Amino acid sequence: MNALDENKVRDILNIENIFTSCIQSNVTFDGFLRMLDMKVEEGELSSDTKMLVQNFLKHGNKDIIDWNSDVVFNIYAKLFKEASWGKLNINNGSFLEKYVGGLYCIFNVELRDAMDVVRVREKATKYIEKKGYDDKFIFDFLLATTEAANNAIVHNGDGVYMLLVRDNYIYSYISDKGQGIPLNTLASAIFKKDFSTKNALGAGYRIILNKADNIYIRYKNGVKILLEFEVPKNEKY
Amino acid sequence: MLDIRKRVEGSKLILELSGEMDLSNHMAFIHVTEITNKADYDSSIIDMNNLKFIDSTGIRTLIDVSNELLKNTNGNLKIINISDDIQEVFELLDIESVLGKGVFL
Repeated sequence: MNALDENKVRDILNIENIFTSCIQSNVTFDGFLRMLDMKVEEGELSSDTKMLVQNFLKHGNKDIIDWNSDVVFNIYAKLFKEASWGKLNINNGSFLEKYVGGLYCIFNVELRDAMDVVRVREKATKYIEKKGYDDKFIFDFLLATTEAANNAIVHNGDGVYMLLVRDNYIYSYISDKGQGIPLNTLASAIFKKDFSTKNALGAGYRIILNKADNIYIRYKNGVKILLEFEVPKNEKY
Repeated sequence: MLDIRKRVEGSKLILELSGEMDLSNHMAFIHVTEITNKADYDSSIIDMNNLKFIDSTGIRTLIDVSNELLKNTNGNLKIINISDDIQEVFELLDIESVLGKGVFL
């Protein structure tokens, strides 16, 4: 099954455009809602998504929209989760560091260039092959991990990779020292899969979303991403 | 590690890929094709029989190289022997719609 609800993905990318034009024109949340109504009438947005967004907004809200608004973040967090069948969790607080703090680290690797990603794959392979997981699980884990680590090097500057475990889960955690991804481009960075732009993020994220069981992303002040995989049931680490 | 072997059978160019193609080594594939593009071939094959791993950077390079080969051989390119795991990623990214259905065997 595709890990993405493609209709919702289309809606998210449209909402990113609507947010952008509203914010550029100092539109209020009320004006934003009217624009959503228009998009539904034009067939560019599903009424489900409009209702979902509407739940976060009170009628008569005269506040001007801006990207730092909690409402905008909460709408995005909900939409991202819905579009990924519940897999993708974005956050802008310290949740992720706390969560990672509760996991057991097997090894870490500094990420400075592409050869460091090869080293990550070699070390991870050595570790997970000993567990006897099937080849498909290993391929999927290594591919999603590679995509997330590549992003740290290509788009965000240096970073650190950690392989973590807890109970029946194995995790890849990548934190980088870049600027992070601005909220106004986060949807297209994650959900656009086209190959037209060199080093586009979208294809990598699409792979990650399909291979990992859950994904947690903190996008502010450097990207932190945690990929969670449930290990095959007949194996123990 | 990526190994690229070039063979020529008459006017057919065959490129055999083995190992892993990723961010660290994908440029090697571009360089090989830059050289081969200077010669005349009627058709071309990319044989992925021993390619065990490819990331999205490698896939993007494969698309670029394939487009060049399609242009230089009047559309006579086949990509063959793709592993199930890699095929699944190609389907996920809908590579067939980028390169055309006829390219994959």
